[in-house]
Amino acid sequence: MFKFIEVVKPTYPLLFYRTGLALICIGKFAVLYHNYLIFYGQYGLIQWSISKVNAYPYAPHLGDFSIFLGRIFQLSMDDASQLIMKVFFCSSLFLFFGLFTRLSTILCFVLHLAFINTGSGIIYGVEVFTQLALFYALFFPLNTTYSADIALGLSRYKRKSLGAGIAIRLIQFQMCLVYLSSGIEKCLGRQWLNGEAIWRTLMMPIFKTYDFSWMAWYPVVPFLIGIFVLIVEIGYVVFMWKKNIRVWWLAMIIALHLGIGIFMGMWFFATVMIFLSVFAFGDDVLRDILKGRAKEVSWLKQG
Amino acid sequence: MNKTLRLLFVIHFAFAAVTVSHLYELIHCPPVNSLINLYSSYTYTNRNFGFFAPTVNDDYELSLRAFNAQDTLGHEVSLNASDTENRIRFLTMLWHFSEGNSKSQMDLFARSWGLYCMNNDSTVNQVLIAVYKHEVPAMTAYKNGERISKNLYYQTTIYAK
Repeated sequence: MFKFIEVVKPTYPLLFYRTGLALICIGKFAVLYHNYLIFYGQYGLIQWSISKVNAYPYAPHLGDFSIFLGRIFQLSMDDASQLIMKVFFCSSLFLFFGLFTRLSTILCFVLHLAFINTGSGIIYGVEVFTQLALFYALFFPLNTTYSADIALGLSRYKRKSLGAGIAIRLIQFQMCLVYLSSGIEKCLGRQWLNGEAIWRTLMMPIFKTYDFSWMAWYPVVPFLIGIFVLIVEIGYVVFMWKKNIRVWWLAMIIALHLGIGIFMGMWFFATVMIFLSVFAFGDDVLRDILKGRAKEVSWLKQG
Repeated sequence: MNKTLRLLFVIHFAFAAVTVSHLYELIHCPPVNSLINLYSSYTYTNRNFGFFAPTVNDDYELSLRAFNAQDTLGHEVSLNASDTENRIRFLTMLWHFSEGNSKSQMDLFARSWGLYCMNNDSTVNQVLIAVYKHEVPAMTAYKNGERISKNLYYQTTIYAK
């Protein structure tokens, strides 16, 4: 089994992972910036005293960091909390450029976890997968390709490495588990099997970007969309490992998440999911496409 | 990878597989369950990834109406939801609010919202909190004329002491 995992792969996907993850972290807070204190403030919609009780005893929480910073710099809790957000923003920026990469990744991981524990009332899939990606980033050799660390002599450039191969395999396995879990959980209810899930989602006032009421008269449409989602998610674990088929499966997964972005407005969630799948299987898919084109060219030359 | 890393790799994905397959529900060993939960709460790699599964939850709407001492009409406290991402956050909060249909949990959220309104405006001494549920009818019912209904799901008033 470990021979399959311990493979040498190019390091350019790690550049994609590092920069993409950093942009996701920056983008998320840029969008929530105006409501930052409402979501994460001491007296926001869910006060610290409540979110702290729900978190694990030693789990990072904005309240603990804010009290510490408040004492050192004589800041109010809201000011200390906003300072933490700025530190997170700077860590994400450092991560983007690959500057003191390991330290900036650790900071992003810990602070993002603190934000999750503090704003536990508002977290959904975006936080889950960003935290998952940050956890894996702790172990990935993210500064071995086009990073400021290389310029400063803190790391060496590697075109290919075992570390990159293991990193890609880890995310491949994780994404297979994610989609298998997601697909099977959906199959446990009737809504995804009879189209009601698609109907309800598109008709909910908050997600209603377009008028889909006509689907009530054509129930076969939401039914087929629901079955498509189930097939793509459950099939992910099998077909993403098959050469020449995975290019289509990756395209379908991207289409599925683009659909979530367009029809539900959940663009951040769509971005995170596409980002993880492209990192996991993008290099393999690219090789399939290039091999396919090379075969075409040699066939044409022979002809 | 050396043997230690390989072992950690196996343990990591064992945790993920046990959680995803719901096998942890069959493990009646508190220390193991605690370890699995703790690992999940830090890494977020071993958890159920069934979003919008097996059913799609209803949509909710929050109304916060704040009153001053002499005020009988009150004013609506608006939450800045100018874009979809912020609106999704408010909806997610309401989904957490209604999770498990626990009255004590809902009361806790409501007190928190009331306190938020009072902290934002010190003249407010009373907050009427109402949560409405938008119920989407099934396709067949919609075809027969039933439409999305907005029903009062929860209501309470929070008073300043």
